[in-house]
Amino acid sequence: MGSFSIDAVRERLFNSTKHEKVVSRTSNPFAATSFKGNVLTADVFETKDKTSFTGKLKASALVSSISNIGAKIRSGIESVAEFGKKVKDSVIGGWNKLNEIEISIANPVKTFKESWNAMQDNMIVNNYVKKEPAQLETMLKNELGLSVAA
Amino acid sequence: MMDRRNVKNIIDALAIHQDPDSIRVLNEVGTNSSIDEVREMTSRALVKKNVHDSLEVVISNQGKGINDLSTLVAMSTINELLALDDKTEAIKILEDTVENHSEEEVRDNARSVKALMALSC
Repeated sequence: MGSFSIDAVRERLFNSTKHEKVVSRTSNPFAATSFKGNVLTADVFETKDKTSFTGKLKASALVSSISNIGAKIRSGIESVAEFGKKVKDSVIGGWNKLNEIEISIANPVKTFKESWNAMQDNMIVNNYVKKEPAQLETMLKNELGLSVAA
Repeated sequence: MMDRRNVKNIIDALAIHQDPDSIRVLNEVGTNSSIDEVREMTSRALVKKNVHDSLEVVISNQGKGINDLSTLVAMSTINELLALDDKTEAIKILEDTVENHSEEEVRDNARSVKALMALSC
């Protein structure tokens, strides 16, 4: 049974073609396009006897590059997180400001319409008061139509 | 459903009208309407006038105001009576109704409303 090795993983990942055999897979419809005939013939486990990665300089460069990539990725993630935090703070701040000044955006159109209707109704009532009650009686009867009980 | 916006405007105008004939219109047209909502608006308008003749319509008449068969109309009228700033005239009519009205049901209603008025003073 093979043992798991970080070095083996790195070697396989970065020099995959070196270790893989070209196997003809005519029956595989994906062979000619996706994998170009290269398939993994062994997993990333190796026996104790095999040491496939020895160059210290190479290993060091690889580790360094991985570290740099990690740093860049980490930096990227941090900046994204920072950006997200700023956006979140901004949104929360905005929401709190809205709440503080008691602005309701639930249905401003409805509120405006109601206010407008109330204002119009006041004007209409003030005009109606100037009329004689008999005139208002006729108007009321007309509005109610057949609804007025005899 | 019929839009009663203009009906309400006319009744509101009659409610604040100074001409006593406005009470007659409200009594004859509004309180006799077959529509509960119109009777409710009319009863409230009569209470808001807060004069003897208008209050008498909603307190001492069987089937009108506090004696209306519709709970909505009766309760709205009672609520409007309780909301009056000056309840003097309303209490006077209620007392008179309790003592002198021929219908027992009307007397009972007036008695109950009078008790509520006393509590709310």
